Amino acid sequence: METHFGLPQTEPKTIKPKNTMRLTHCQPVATANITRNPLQGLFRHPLAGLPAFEQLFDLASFPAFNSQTSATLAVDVYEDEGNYYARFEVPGVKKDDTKVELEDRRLAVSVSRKTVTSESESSFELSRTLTVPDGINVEAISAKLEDGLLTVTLPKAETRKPRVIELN
Amino acid sequence: MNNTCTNPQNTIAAPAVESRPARRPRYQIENSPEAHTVKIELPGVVKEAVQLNLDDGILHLSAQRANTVPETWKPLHRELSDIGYELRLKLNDRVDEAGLTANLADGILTVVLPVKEAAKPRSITVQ
Repeated sequence: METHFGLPQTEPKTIKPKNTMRLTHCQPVATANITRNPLQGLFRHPLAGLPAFEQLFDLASFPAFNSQTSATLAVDVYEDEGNYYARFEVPGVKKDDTKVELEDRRLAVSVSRKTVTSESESSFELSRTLTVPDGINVEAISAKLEDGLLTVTLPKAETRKPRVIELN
Repeated sequence: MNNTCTNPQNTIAAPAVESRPARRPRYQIENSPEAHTVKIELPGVVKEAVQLNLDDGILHLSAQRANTVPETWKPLHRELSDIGYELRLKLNDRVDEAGLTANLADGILTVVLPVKEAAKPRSITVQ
């Protein structure tokens, strides 16, 4: 029997099993100031402070918070010497439910998330479209699913070497 | 309603709270007569980075996101957060704490909380 610190014990002991789930949030005082994603404010203005990105990727599916039939996947874009990387958060998504398509320089990533409970089964789709920048080796694009993160690797094509065109 | 959670006197007894920023992961609870199954979304978390403690009937989950991005990767655009996850769930006393199991796959942590034998529904034969 728990001590309820003077609060009236409202839960009758003879309650039916299906109503007795009492897994409840416990939000202690010190964690009450848990921060939500600090970057979130930034996303309300999709391209705020991101001039470099604007030049590289066209965020075709913005505004992200529009109510659409399928929700928008959040993405991180990275670059290193050889590749661009687009990383998506897809917890609980299986490989078979992931679709990465490239059509005419538009990279479309869509995943379907299935929720199966004993009573029902539901699924919803999340998607995101990015426009692939110039100088990408389209043939060598690859994708990896790991720990609930989907990483699409976009290798940069060999630098187009300057060449001299001879006059006839 | 369970009032104990909002009672500050009760929460002081919770395990030491770290001031590290954290966010509450999305989770789903599924109930059956046998067990309560909690599915917690922890994308970007590896098994080693999950801490699951059970103290005084409070299940405390704390998970740090693995820094899976190599240093050479230069961020061009960020929407995801590297902040870790923190979740506290108060178990009721019908849960068999010793039989608790947890499994992390595809960024989902599944915690199974078996119902105590004594609390399972049973039919009683009339003599």
